[in-house]
Amino acid sequence: MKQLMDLANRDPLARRWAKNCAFDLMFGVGDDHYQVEVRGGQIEAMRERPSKLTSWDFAIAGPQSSWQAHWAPVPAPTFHDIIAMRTAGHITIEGELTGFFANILYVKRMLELPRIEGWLQ
Amino acid sequence: MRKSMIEPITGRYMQLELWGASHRIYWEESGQGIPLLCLHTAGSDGRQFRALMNDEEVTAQYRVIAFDMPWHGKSSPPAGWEAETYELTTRKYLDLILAISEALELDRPVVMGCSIGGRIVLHLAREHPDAARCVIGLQSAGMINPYYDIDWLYRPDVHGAHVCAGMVSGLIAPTAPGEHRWETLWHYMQGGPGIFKGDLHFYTVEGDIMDHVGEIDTAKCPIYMLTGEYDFSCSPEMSQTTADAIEGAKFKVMEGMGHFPMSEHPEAFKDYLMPVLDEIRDAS
Repeated sequence: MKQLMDLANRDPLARRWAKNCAFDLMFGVGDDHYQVEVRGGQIEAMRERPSKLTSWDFAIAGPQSSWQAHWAPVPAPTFHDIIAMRTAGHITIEGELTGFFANILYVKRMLELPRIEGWLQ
Repeated sequence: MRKSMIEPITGRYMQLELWGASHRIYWEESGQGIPLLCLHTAGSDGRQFRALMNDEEVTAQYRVIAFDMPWHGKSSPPAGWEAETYELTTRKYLDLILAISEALELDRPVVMGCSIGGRIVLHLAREHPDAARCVIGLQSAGMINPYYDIDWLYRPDVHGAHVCAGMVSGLIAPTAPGEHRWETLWHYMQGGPGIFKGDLHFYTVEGDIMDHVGEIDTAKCPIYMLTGEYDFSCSPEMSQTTADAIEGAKFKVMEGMGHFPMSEHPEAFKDYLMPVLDEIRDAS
């Protein structure tokens, strides 16, 4: 996941939409959870398995199979977008969602980068 | 590299009296032949049909017309808009289509609409079958299942341009060319405050026609329906359910396509649209 942090911080499109973003995302892949701390449009920290008392603004989580389907070179319908995945029940999106909607272009881009970078190819 | 060129599309304004107020409406058109009146999606404008209006194979047979709804694109809101909350209704949408068709002296046009446009053509076919020689519903269903709180689209603490584009970006197929994907999203970023949400009032609340689609007489007004497989707002299943309830409706799923076929992937969309346009031409 350290790779994802580096990717997001140098990806031109992510940087384009990240301007002034500031939020704490709890990102869940199966049993693994990562606290993604975004400040000033950069991921400043990504902490694996943070303390259970860690606070966050919103959480996006799903089984590993959902994220693998999302990151497939050509994802199938309902797996191609996080809102589509949430609508179909493949993942959950919860918490204080103002930050999610305010930064939706950046959040989507960040979570699509493994597909765009061909991690599963 | 593409050469510089001037497109064959022309744009003009008309003044329409609607609902007791004057409306300045912008429309574009290209081509000659059977009138093809195109209806854009919620929160966007007529530029979605730019490729169709630049396609000589289409414009050699059809007069392609796309207008911006009031409050959208280059069409103005009516005077006094600053104190009004925009909300689209079935009646207003039908009034608008009929008024524009009359103003442009269109002889029973083919009316093709996408999303909210795909919904209103069902109302048009049911209530005014003589007003169109047939309708084409893109991403068309009698009703859809709302999947988010549309209040998020119009708030002081969430940038409207970002959230409108961000919410529809996932409705575009992942195989859409980047150029067309981002052009489509740009149109959403240019929508006026609260307008996308106001259109969705019709789409998600007021414009439900599911209980009445069976009343549509396709002998009077034939119905063609095309839905992209990646659309989870108006899914192929929702369109199929609608088509099944309309005797004589012709429905096809478009592979590799999302919610904005004419705008997100014009070349691939043409493979599905041309057989329909050829059939309509042969029947006219």
